[in-house]
Amino acid sequence: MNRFIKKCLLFFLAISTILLIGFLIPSNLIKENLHYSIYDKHQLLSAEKEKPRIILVGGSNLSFGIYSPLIEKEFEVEVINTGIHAGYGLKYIIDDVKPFIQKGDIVILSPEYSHFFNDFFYGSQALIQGLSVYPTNWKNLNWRQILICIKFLPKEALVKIKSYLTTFFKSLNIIDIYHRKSFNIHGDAVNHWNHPKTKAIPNDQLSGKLNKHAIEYVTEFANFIEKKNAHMYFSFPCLNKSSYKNSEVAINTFYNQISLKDFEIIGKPIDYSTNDSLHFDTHYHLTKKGQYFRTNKLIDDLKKHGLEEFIQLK
Amino acid sequence: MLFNTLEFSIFLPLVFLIYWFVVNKNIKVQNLFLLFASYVFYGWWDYRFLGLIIFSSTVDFLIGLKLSKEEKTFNRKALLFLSLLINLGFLGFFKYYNFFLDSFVDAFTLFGSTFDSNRLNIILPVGISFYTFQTLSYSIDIYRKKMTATKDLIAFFAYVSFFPQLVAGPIERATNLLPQFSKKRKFEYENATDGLRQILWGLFKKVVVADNCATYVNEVFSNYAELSGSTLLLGAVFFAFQIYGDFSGYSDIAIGTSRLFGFNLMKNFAFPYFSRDISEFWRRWHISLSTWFRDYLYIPLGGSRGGMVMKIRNTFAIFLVSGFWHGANWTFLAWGFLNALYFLPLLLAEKNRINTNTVAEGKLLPSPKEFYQIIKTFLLISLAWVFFRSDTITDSFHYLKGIFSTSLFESPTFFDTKIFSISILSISILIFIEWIQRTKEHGLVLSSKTPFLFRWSVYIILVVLIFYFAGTKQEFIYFQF
Repeated sequence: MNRFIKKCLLFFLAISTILLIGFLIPSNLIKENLHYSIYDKHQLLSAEKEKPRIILVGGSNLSFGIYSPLIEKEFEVEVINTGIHAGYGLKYIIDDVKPFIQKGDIVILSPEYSHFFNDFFYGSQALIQGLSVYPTNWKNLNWRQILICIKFLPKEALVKIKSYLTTFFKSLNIIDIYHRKSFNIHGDAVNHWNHPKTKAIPNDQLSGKLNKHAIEYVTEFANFIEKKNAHMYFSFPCLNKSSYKNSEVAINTFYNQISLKDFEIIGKPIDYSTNDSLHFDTHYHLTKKGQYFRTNKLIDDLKKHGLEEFIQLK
Repeated sequence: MLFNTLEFSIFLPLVFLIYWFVVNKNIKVQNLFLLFASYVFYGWWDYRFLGLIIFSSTVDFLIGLKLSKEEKTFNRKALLFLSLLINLGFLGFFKYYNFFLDSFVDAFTLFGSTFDSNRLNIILPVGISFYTFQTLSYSIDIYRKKMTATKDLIAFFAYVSFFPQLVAGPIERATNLLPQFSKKRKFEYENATDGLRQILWGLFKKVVVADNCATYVNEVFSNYAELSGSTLLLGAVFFAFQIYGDFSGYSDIAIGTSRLFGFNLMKNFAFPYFSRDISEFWRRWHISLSTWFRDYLYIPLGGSRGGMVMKIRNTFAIFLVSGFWHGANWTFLAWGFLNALYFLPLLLAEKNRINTNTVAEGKLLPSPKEFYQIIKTFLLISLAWVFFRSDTITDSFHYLKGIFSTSLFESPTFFDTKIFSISILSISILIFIEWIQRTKEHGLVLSSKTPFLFRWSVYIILVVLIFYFAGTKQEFIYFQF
């Protein structure tokens, strides 16, 4: 038995050493990746402004789904698109943006549907990638998020080793679709406009249990915003039609629950389900045409909900 | 609790250490601890269903005791009937109630009558098909006087709920597993290390092969109407590897885990995709279920002793029941029926037992004839899996029709090329390693004579592959059964 335990510990040590090397690799080698765009978005958010701002909060359905200059032109206010990656989890996304909310801000919260099912609200592998950029955000994590981080630590260490080795062979300065510099000054992803779209858009199917904690957290966030003398609208993400069809029952269940809440909801899920032809590479990422389509739809709905009057009042 | 979770990676070492270092003095305490650990393992999913296992175990324990004392045939039959009624009653209610209700309503609708049905919102308890068959084997074997009833309540409860195989098998017979709970377990270094290797190989099959293939398979089966025949064929082939990686991976982890605790479970898979005919495939696939049906259904029905008509009837019976065991859907019945059809020519020609040895034994590669046989069998099985994976019979037929169309010769759609490449790479590793190891107990049997550096390199590479290429986590497919 002692021999067995010793060998197990030795093996554990060997694996841990490999992973430790991964953790110790300085992360500035990969600081041009998508997750580092949060630095740039934080800079936009932290600037003190006299006029109200529109802040878009959610995952990549926003960065790849909105073209902010159209909104800015329509309402004549600054628009900041904070969307980066749904995999951070809605809790992390909200916690990250909270300190930046100022009086008079208009927050448009548009999370992916998956945030409201099972445990995706707490994040996935991207959470640890987000944290490696902003380690101080560790303080906001709850135990479920910590468990997710522990689960993905080994993979993340190996990813870092791989990235480190890759830099010997190719420069990371090539700006591709998922790069820190793939965004415009508002935080919208635009670099993919020059790339060919994926032949077949992968389909999604929502399943599992509706996470009521996620809905409650959104309610608390809305109350927080109101207390700051700002305002929140809840908007639905741009899910492609085939995925929408697959997930219609789950989305309706979600809609029935969220519409019971007091915060202002813009439109209905079906209004924002977009044709597959408007999608770029995933069920939430739109092409240029798609981004224009969804932004115009959002502008129309915001007008219907009196955004212009709200801005004038402020 | 799932094997491929953080929870299990904490649970297993903890249970292992307590089992061998704290409660190792007394076998009864050790069994009690195993029972407790098994209930924690099961209750992690949904503690409410623990009551069902406890009730099922109690019923069979008491019936077993009564049966062993009872001499009158009528009373013995009545007791066995009671055991069957209760166990199959639970299984029928939880698994088949809505299916029968819907089928009944559909049948009447065909004749012009319509009426409302009260569908129940029933949650299927994980593993119910597995532990029900396990407890049934106990009652039946006592009835047949193949074994005597145990008087050790804790040992019996621990046997029914033994956590490594509780939710997805292998379906153990009481004659094999129960006596192991009565003997003092001794830690054996070789057995435990080989158990760990088997766990590692099982994890690779599940997390890397099955979960990556699942991503492609899900895409293909959700959009089959818009995809080319070549993509559909690829989807069916990937599903064949997904279900194999998933289920045989689970079995390997279950068997390996049991070995850490000094238990030996039966082999559940014997490299089935290297089979040269359907008959060989069914001797190598889900062995614990096939032999269960052979011993408790096929043989009692007369087996192959009667004439050809009886043989055919029994063959269809076993395949249809096996299909139905997998799920309350016509697709599973169709899958069973198709496999029976595949099997029939071999049965009629009395060639169902010609390939009983290992393929290309002692050779590096199979002969061209063997290679052709393996590919043919694999393709037939993959086409049958289409029924298994589809939501409805109509979907299955449309899917198959889509394969056999002119678009079969178009270039396939890969969706996410990265995941597709990982799937291809992992399938290649799987085939390569299992081919080399096809005479062994599992894919990662390495003798102590193998150089230390080689062995550890293999382990470390596999761990790195598991961490790095882990696909999107999917539930074990067989949990739903």
